[in-house]
Amino acid sequence: MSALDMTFAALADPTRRRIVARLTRGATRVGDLALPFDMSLNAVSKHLKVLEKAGLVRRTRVGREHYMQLRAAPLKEVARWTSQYERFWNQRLDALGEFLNTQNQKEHNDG
Amino acid sequence: MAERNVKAMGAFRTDVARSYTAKPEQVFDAWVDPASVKAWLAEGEKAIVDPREDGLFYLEMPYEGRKYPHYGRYLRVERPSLLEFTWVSEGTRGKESVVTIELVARGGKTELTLTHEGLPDQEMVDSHQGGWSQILAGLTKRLG
Repeated sequence: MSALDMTFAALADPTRRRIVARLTRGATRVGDLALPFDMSLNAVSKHLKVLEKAGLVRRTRVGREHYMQLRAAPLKEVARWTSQYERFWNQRLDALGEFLNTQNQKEHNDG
Repeated sequence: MAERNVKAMGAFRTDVARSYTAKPEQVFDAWVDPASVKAWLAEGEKAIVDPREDGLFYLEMPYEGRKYPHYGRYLRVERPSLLEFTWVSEGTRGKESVVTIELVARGGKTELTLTHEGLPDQEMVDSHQGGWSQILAGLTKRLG
């Protein structure tokens, strides 16, 4: 599995997407992550392990508390992949603009 | 109007818009006239087009240092306001995606909206859920 495959697989689960969405607000204690999802700490830990393995989150320990934090790199990779076609069409539509300008110029000169 | 094969399509889409100083007819023709298509869309490479409903096209598109074969089928050809065709390439992983081009005249200019639907999404195809795109859009915005 490529890194991108891992990211997609990790985000294919709605609970994990909600966890990621929650973490966009900042680093969160593992215990606090379990609360809004009405899940056991154990269940949340399993989801967090998948996200960690995909490199989407990072765990830091402060004393006895475990904090989860979002890592931007894999998400940026997803954004880059999904926006490939956007980039492509932006390039092509600029080329169309140049083409139309050349056409207008030609008509102007001929007329 | 020819129909799209929805079940063969992926779940991602992208929207791009532009405004051109030209009449809608002129912009539309740039998309269907074989010589024009070859000139700007295929950047001078091979372009075979048969722009009528259920007509086919083949484009050899140079992109980031390589030539990519593209195949498609025209679904709607409504000069000068609407053009729709399927779009199959390595980039869509063989899936039939659909490109829709809408043209609207406004104040001497033509506003073009291009929608590319049905882009593939790997594992997400099977487990796609509505909120995904919005979440991702929100996230990437936030993360810069």
